[in-house]
Amino acid sequence: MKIRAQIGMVLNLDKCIGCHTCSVTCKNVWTSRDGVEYAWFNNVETKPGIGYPKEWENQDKWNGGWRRNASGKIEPRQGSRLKILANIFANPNLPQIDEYYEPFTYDYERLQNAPLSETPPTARPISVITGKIMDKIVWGPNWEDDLGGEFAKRSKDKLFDNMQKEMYGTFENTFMMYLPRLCEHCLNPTCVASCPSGSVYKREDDGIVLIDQDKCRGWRMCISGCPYKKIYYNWSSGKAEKCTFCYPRIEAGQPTVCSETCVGRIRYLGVLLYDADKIEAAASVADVQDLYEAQLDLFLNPHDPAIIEEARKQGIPDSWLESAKKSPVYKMAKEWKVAFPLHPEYRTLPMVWYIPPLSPIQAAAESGKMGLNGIIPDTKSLRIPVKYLANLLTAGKEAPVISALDRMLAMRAYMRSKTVDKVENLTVLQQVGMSKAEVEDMYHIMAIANYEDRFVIPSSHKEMAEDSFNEKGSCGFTFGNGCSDGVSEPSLFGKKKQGSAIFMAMPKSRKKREENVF
Amino acid sequence: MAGIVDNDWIEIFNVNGTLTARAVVSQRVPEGMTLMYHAQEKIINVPGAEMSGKRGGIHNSVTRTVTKPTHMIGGYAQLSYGFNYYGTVGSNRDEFVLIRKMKNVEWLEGPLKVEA
Repeated sequence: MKIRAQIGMVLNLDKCIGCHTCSVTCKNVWTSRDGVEYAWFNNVETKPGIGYPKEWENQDKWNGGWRRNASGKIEPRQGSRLKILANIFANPNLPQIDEYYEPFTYDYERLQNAPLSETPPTARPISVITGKIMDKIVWGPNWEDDLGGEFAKRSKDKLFDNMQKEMYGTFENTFMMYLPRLCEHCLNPTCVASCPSGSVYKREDDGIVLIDQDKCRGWRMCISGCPYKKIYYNWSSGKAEKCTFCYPRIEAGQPTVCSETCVGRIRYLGVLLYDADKIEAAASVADVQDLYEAQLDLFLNPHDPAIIEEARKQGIPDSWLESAKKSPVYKMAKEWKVAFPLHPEYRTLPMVWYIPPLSPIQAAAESGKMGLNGIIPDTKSLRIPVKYLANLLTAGKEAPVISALDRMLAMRAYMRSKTVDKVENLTVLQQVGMSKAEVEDMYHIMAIANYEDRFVIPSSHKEMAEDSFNEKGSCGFTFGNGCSDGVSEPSLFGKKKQGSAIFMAMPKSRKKREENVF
Repeated sequence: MAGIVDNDWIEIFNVNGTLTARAVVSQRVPEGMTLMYHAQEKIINVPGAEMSGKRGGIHNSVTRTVTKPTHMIGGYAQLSYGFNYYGTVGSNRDEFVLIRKMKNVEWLEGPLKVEA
């Protein structure tokens, strides 16, 4: 048994309000730089929709993730190592900029500089790629926000597979949910397997997947390999970039920026112990519907004395083992089984998990009473079809999703009986196979969601994991010793650095005024 | 609705005035109905209206709130009233409007012409 630890994340979609605060704070911290204007390490999609980049979930189109071949082995769907090398000069599976969107800003200075005119001025959009005015913005990273756009276009959504989707385009049968997305920091990452330069790696001590900016040669095979399309090419530096899980914060025991700033308190961070020896077998199970359970089986019980002893022997710090016992992620994924991996059928064994959202009960509105399954409302009458959620979280297998939704409904029913009726309704708990202590803990963590219960992050022990001397002078995203940003300076003689050509073409009169003072 | 597809430039008008916008077609709004949050902010990405040949002010909405006696009390923010802008009776803001696809998108960026 090879025990490793990872900081996993759970997002409780039941509480996401689609405010995009996670995306904006992430953008401000990580991708407000030249070359990655179009990149959102974290984005929030409205489902049903095709998402960002367009149709990222359609692996028939993009060939991301893994495929199990006839001999029962897995290989990247875009091809084996040899095929990847053969394609490095013409990758057929790479999204183009229009599949993301043309990043833009607005000509705000026009509002101050416009000449006297018949009618007040307006700030027109400017492409950040060309620096020119755009006639019309035609796509964005959240274009489908709150179901924007015709159903005919949005229903290309891959999650409608094996569903009769036509009825969901009518006003009466409308449903929607939000899906915040980031790098999954997979146990079996296709990006790592696809990189010809060996620059993408998964850290052994905390499981964070990173790209070595010194080693990256910009082949972009990781971008086509990743089925979540969560690696981005920086056209300015010529290197690939991705969500870093805010590792400088995680190392210091702080939550990621997206988790910290989440107003709905939907994000949870905690340690998961797993058996690294079993990863390949788990990722190679024959039936894609077994992948969720196979991944669950990788997670080790942090309360088991034998596991604790073995983990200690293998060099996992005690503070991590203590945190693992209190991990909200372990509880939600493994103990209560209310959280699920995103698209397990990609065989990547993702480590950012999702709690499916409850939704209004349609039958109740129509008939004046709720469809009841015993005491709790019938999950099958929820407005969001269970099949749709199952296509997102369990490769189409409905039973685990129904069980999770039932448990959440039971938690509500139990707490309502306790606080409103002053009677503890234990029947409702028996129905979903949970104890009183369990459901009260679940309520405390999922509904009350105090800061210290949501984020149980041990600070890292880098002295045990790596020799930081080797990191000296290495490249950050667009800075550091010997790190090219892809822009050649026009003159050798002390000309002031001006930034990229794109931003030079954009109005910066205020800045220029300051420079021209002398 | 009237051949309008997602992201079309449209002009919306009634007796109160006119404004331009890009349409978001969505199943969330039933056919024959349109919805606008607050009003069009004309300072960002809004062309001139074909009907008026102007862009208009800043926050003009096509609907207007209707005054009622309590608006005249004064002294309390929640009871004050700003014409076409701020009122206590949100539900009164439904209006009949006409919508049409714009033929020409004119940005009206030229300087003021002073006649001799």
